[in-house]
Amino acid sequence: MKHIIRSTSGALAAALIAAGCSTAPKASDVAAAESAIGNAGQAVDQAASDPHVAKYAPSELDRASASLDQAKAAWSKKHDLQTTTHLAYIAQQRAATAQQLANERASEEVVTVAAAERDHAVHMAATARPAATGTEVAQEGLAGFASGKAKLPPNSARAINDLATTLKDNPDSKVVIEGHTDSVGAPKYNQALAMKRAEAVRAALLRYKIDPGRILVGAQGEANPVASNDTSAGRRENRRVEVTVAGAESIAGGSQMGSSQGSTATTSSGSGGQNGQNGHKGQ
Amino acid sequence: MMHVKLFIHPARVLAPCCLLALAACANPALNNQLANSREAVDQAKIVGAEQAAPAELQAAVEKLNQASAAAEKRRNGDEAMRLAQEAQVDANLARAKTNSAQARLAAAEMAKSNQLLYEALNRTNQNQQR
Repeated sequence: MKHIIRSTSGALAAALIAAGCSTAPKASDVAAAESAIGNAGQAVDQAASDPHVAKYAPSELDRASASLDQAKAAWSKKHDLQTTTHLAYIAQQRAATAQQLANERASEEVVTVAAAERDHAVHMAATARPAATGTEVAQEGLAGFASGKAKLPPNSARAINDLATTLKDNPDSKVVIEGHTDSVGAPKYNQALAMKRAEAVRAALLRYKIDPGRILVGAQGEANPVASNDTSAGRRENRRVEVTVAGAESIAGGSQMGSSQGSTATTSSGSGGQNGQNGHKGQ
Repeated sequence: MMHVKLFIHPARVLAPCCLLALAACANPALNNQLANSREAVDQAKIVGAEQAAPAELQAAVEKLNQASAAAEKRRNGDEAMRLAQEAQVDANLARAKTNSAQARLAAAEMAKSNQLLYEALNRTNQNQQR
């Protein structure tokens, strides 16, 4: 009898152990695991839906997803609550890190754009401030220089004439002449070429008996295109000279500016541009 | 005198070696993880997480300390590993949060200074047109 009891209790114990292994885990454990996985899943989804994260922190997001998958597996395969909550926590923190990395890069982008805007504003203020008289100068005809050449385009005569008239009508004004090029060629070469183009306009104004002291020339090289350098039409627009008539005091001290010697740098001949596009500033 | 210096008792050599061997062999994966976590915490401190992400940094430091203590006693290896891993992600988050806050601040300052610049330029233009 004793033996029977002992054997039944042994069998019972074995059955209980077997049952314990296969039965569902405690309800409180299920709730805890589901909550941990749910929170982590939400954090990963939120990070994944942020376009900045996909762009700037994809690897951290991948690591977060991998940890989330491991957490799910630890629960579904082993019902290991401790490992599940641990991995879910890792996933959540990684998702948050991905978000922060993306935020950082987005802010850096804002700084870059703001710096470019500031540079543009400073440049505009230094060189393109409207004259006290409000005189706008026609820029037609001062674009469309032949590639690599500084000879004035054929249709520039009218623009030069208008400019000279404006200067004569406003004897206190000064003129800023800035040369530009397209992106073909080395920047250093283009800087020199742009200066030659500005000098060509200066030389033309001198023929109208404009006082050389009222003329400032500068060059921007290829740095400030007004059109795309990817098309021939865009490049032709960029091969230009920009002129700004300004009140005497407002243009003093512009960077890269300086009265230059009266050399005419227009010796080279070229086919010249066709109908010159508008060369005035984009913004 | 020379004789005394030349003779080194074997125990004096062996004792540190044994300690080193025990420490190194205790759990290479855990030691490796602890080193990574420590590095992550240091990096977070360097960028200034103490100010910008104190809660995350503190969590990382506490978990790292607990993990180190457990590793030294060679007890609770699994728990020590989990704590060390969590310390690393906490520290990484603290660092990212700090960098992000600094970048945001820089962007805000830039926007503010641009605003002031534009206002100044506009004033100058208006004065000139008068």
